[in-house]
Parts: sequence; structure tokens; C-alpha cells
Amino acid sequence: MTLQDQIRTAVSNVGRRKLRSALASLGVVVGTLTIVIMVSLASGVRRQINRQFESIGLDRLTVTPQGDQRGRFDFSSFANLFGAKPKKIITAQDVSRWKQLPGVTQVIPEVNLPSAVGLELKWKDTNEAVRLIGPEQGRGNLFGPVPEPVAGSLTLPESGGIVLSEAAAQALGIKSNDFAGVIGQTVKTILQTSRGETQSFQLHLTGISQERMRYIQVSVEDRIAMKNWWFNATNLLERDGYDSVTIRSVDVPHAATLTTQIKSEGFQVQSLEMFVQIANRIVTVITVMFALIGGIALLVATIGIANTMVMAIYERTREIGILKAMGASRSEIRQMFMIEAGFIGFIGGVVGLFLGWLVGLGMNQAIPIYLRHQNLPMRGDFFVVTIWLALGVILFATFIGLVAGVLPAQRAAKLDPLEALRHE
Amino acid sequence: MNDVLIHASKLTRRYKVGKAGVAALSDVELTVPTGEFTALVGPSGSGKSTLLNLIGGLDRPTSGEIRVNGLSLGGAAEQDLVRYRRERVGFIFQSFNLLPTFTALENVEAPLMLAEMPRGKRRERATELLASVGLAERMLHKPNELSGGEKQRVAIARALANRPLLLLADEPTGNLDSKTGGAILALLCDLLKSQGLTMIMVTHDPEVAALANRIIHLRDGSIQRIETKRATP
Repeated sequence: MTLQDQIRTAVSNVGRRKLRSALASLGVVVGTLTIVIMVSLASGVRRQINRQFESIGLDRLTVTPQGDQRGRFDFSSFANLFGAKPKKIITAQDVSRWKQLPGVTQVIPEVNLPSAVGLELKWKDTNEAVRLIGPEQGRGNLFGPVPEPVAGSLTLPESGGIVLSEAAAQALGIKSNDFAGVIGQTVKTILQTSRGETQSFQLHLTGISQERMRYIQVSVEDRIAMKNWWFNATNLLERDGYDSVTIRSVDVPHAATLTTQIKSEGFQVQSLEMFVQIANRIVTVITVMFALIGGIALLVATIGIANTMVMAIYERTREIGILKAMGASRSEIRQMFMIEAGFIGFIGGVVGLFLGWLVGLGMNQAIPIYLRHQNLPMRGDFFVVTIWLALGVILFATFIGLVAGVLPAQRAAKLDPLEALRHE
Repeated sequence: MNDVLIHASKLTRRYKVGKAGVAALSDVELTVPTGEFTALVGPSGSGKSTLLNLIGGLDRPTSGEIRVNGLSLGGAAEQDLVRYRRERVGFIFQSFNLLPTFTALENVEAPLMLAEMPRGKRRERATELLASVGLAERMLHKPNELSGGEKQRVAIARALANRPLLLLADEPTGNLDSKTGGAILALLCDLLKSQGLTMIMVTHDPEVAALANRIIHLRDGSIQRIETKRATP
């Protein structure tokens, strides 16, 4: 008997007792439904988490030279004290290479001035002490919004530009309504050592940012120049490299691959991607727990299917005898009943998947309405049925049916043909 | 007159009833040539059906040997026995034993399906067979829509489907009125002649047995006597 004929016969046999088959597959429907809802919710929530994290900047990572501990306590810093481990510096070549990596949208190298540097701005007759910050630190709060320009542009040229915060500009006596007029004018930035030596840099005002802290931003070129003066050196970049590099990537998953790649090059990489990982891990644990409940429902469903199969085999004992007299082998009889049981599981899986998908569809409509009501506007779906979930769940339901069919089918296969023929 | 198709020697079948063994058949010696119609007669419990089931490979002997067409059924592997039933033997039962949810056509197709004949060919062959037993008009009816005689015709068509060497009939007219039974017997005799089949039939009815080439009388599990007739049925 060909497999095709076996499947056709099995399907028509299941169709013979529709109600009973439907009841038997109900358990599978419930189990599949639970799994589909839970796993699709988990995929949706995972996507939401990634999207939310992307919007607060988890798609970026910070690379620092190896051995640079940046104030954190670490045993390896002792090793550095004794010069055991040479510092792996970030060179300009590294930076230009990283720009070519897939998924990278922006590479922002940074150089920090020592905190002992005194910094003063001179505007007309006013001198005002300010703080210098890097371009990425411009965001006062990581989770806060990106600062907006109130005048000019916040994008610095290669060198010779300066961005003032609103507070710094006001401290220099620039009125808010003059902001637009002063863009492009020269601001004198004076560096001062504690012994009183000074050096001034002429910078053009590029823009004013909407920030209440008193700070300025200058390009990395200018900061290197300032640092060179401070240390009385000319090749600080070649010697020490950049202090840190911020890399922005297309999305969170790319940030994760970039992290591992740059780590393997021997740099220290910090990214908030860890948060995503922890969140995803929590979601996974919850998913597995709920999927287990669905799995238990499916296991219980095997009892229902097995019971139906035992009944069917009892009723059809005589038919089994006839088939055996006609030359059906044990394995053909066994396979026929296994396929029947598998088909009941398959039907349950398909129905459960469809219902689960429907529930998800409804929830995807309902949840945003609720969230808007709670003043938590969120876009996107919360229940996502992936093709893998759909295929996996149907395969699993079919497998459950097959497992349920093993023992009853074995019993049918072993029937003695003569006794089966005598059965009424 | 012909090749030997069936040969049995010291054929014994015992059943366990409680602790005691009951011999349904003991030390039967039998030779059946190809192309003959043999009738097995005897009272209930004489071992007729047991002998028929042993010849058909539905049961295995306790001791002794039975060979059909060169295959020793007692020691054959299960899969050889399955093939033997499928390809060499056609069964006809008193109670027809049609598959109740299949149409007449599908019932005749069933053994062809087991033999893995392609669908189109098997439909063709089943249609042909049903036409040859006079049921061309009733092919799409289910067994419960057919009369007893029609059911037995379907069963005969089914038994012939895989072109067997041997037809085994267990009281094929037992559930039919004499007129219908007569027609079924006439059909079987025609088929035997036209297709060179060998048939063994269990029957109670002396008139039916009279049609056979040989009549084997069984009693208490042993052959009592054998009547041989030269005349063709």
C-alpha cells in the first residue's frame, strides 16, 4: 500500500466519525492555542522591547582602549601599574575601518581634556568659565530627548567651530532674540593652567543648543589641538589614540554583532545591549513557562486521541480482519492508524493555530486603544505569529497525534486475522 | 491430471481450550491439483473451516506441513504469508465481509490498493471485474444498499482482483436463498472454467458439493472419505 493511499484512507476514516474526531482534537486545539498565543505574544513583546530600546539609543556602543579603566576598579589596573599589559589604543585607522563595517551608520571618535584644564569663554567684555563636553554627552539624560538647536546647527565642522548651550550663551550676555544674529561670529576660548599659562583658540559659533547646563562643544580636531597644547606635545593622537569612540548602528541586533566583533579585536566595548539581552531572557523564560502549560495541554490531548483510536480500532476489528485476509501487512495496518491519529493532531494544530492567530489579531487592535487611553502610545503589533511558529506548532501537534496513535495502532497491527474476522 | 497445487501431510491444528488442547484437525493428508474444484463437507466442528484457514494462510498449523504453490505456509515468514494472501489467494465468506464504508467499486479496488497498483489502472480493473460479475450498474453503491446476492458478487470480484491461483470459499451461499445461491454457484463455476482457477469450498449443502470434482468428508478433525468425480462441474 503506498503512503499516498494510506493517507487518503486514513483521512476518509477520520471523516467517517467527524464529531468524535473533533472532540478528540479539541485537546490539541486548546494546547496549540495556548502555545500560539504565548509564543506570538513573546515575539511581539520582544520586537517592542527592541524598538523601544532603539528609540532610547541602545543601538549605539562605546569603544574604549584596552586597559583604560575609566575610574572603575578592576584587578587588571594593578597589572597596568606595573606595566604588564601594554595599552591597546584606538587609532585613526581603527576609526576609518569601523566606518566600513556593515550596519554602522556613524562613528564618533572622542578625546577628553584633563579635568584640571581651566576653560573660559571671552565674548566682547564678558569672561565666563564653562565646561567642555563631547558630542555624545550633549544629551544630559540618556533616556531624555536629543537636544534641539535654538539657533544655527549643532553639527560641528571638522575644526574651528563651537556650539554653546543656551545657558552658556545667556551667561555671556547674549539675549535670546539675538541668538540667530550671532551665529558665525568668533568666540575666543581660553585654556588656562593652574600656574596661569594661557592659550586662546578662535572658534566660530556654529550653533546654540537648547540646554540648561552651561557647556560648550568643539570638534574632536580642536580638542586634540587643545590637548596637545596642555601636554606640550604634538603627537598625542598617535601616542594615546582616541579616548573613546561611539559607534551608532542601524538597529539593536547589529549593535550586538558589532559589540562581539570589536571586542574580539581587543578593545573594551560598552553597550546597553545587555539590557536588551536581560529583557529578552526574561521574556524567553516567561514564554517557555507558558508554552509548557500549552505543552501539558497537548500531552493531555494525547489521552483523548489515544482513547478515540482505541474505540475506533475496537469498532473496526472486523474490517482489520478483512484487510488482513486481503493481504494487508501488520506495518500497513499500524501505519494506517498512526496516520489517522496524526491527522487528528494535525487538524487540532491547524484549528488551534488559526484561533490563536485570530486572538492575536483582535488583541493587536485592542491593545493600542487601551494604551492610548492610559497615555502610553505605542506603535506596532504585540502578537506576532512567525512562519516558524506556525510550522513548528502544526508539526508538534501532528507529532503529538502520532505519539498518541502508537499503542492503539500497535494493538490493531497485532490482531489475529481469524479472531478479527469473527468479531461482530 | 494436473500439477499439484496444494499438498498437506500430517497437518494438525490444536487449539487451547482452558488447559486442555483440542485438536481441530489431526494428521490430515491432502493433495489438490491445479484447476480442480474441491468441496469440504462435514458436520459442525469437523475441521472444515480450520483446514480452509490453514490453506489460506490465515492460521498456522500446530504440526505437520502444508505447501501451496511451493510455499511452506507453516514456516513462512510473516511477510511471505502476507504476500501469499495478497497475490495467490482470494477469499469468499458466508457473511460477505465487505468494507461497509466503501462502495462496491472501492471494495474491489482495496486488494489492488494493497498491491500498490496505480489509481487509474486499479479503477479500470475493478470496473471490468464488477462488469464481469454482472454489477456494472451497481458499482457506486455501498454494501448496505446491495442485496445479498449482489454483495456476494462484489466479494467474488474482489477475490479475483489480484488474479489469484486459488479461491477459498467458506459457505458462499449459506446466507442466500436457493435461487440466488444457484446463480452465485453458476458464476463461480463459469469463472473456474474460464480462468483455470482452483477452488476449495466449505459447504453444508450436498447439492452444492455435488458440483465439485472432489468431495472431502471430514469428521472430528480427520478425513473420513474422498469422493472423486471425473465429470467437470
